Amino acid sequence: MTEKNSIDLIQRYGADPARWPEDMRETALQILAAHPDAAHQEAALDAALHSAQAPMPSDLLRARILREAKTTAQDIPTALTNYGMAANDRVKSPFKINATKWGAVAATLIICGALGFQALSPAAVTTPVDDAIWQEAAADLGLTDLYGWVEGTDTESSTRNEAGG
Amino acid sequence: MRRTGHTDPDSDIIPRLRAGDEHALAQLMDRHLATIKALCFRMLGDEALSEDVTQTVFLKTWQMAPNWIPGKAKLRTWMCRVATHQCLDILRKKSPHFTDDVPDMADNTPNADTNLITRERSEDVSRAIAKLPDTQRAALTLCYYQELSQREASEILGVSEKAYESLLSRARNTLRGTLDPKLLKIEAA
Repeated sequence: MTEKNSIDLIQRYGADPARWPEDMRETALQILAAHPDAAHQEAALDAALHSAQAPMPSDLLRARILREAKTTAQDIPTALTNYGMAANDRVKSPFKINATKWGAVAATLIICGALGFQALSPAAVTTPVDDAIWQEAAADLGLTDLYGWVEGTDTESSTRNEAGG
Repeated sequence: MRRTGHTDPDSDIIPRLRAGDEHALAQLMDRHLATIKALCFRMLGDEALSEDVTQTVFLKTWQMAPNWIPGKAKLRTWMCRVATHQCLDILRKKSPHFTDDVPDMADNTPNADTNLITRERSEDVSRAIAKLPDTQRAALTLCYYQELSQREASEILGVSEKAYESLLSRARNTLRGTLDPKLLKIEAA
């Protein structure tokens, strides 16, 4: 890194080393120690930027968000139909319907049945975290028997037998 | 403090958001409501509009939470991306709505005169930032106020790191030329 590069660096990011790219920080610090004026000028601009504080959110905003969340349906997890695609990748759920989370669980189970459930192995397409969420959702609906059917066992008694009961 | 590293500070909240826990949403707001709103305000210059966009960001986060895969990105970075894109979309569709009326901030300190000067200085700087081109303003906001890394900010803006650095340079150069030199000297004192 040259002296010019170091000066360019602080003219881009300011005088605070915490904002500099990590891989350049140490070298830049050493070079700029010899050029305090450049750092001083940028520190002045940094201080001006710091003075421009944005207004805090209103209390009403927080209440609005919580109120709207109560009537905003969460997306149906796409693990069983499109494994690996995440909302992080800006996947648009094709199932944006006005349904409750539990309605979404029921809808997906119906789809699994229509596709021929025997061909599906939940263990192959779900992660342990997804399995836990499905378990919880099914249990809350009182769908233990149905979930047992989904897993490949028919009844609670079958489940107990397989468990060695 | 610049946020670096790969661990997501919100990893404790994400499973509860996925499960539809509204308390988790409240906790997420405790952590990020102010910074997301500040990002939107600096981009849009309008408090009511910035709160609308902030609401949209949190509701989108709530909505997509069941499909969030941990480890691919930090939740806060994703939220900043949604907010930035939403703001840039709004700015593209309409003329910028920047007013000279910066909302008053509460002043409970005894040094009212000093605080008045500080407030005026803040307004001058806010106005100068508001006049930057949208992408320069976005770059400056993500770097300086959101304290995102070079990689995170350039990904949010959808540009190369070099292009992001160019935006930063131009933003700071413009501000140096726009701001009253006395303002910068006073700040440096």
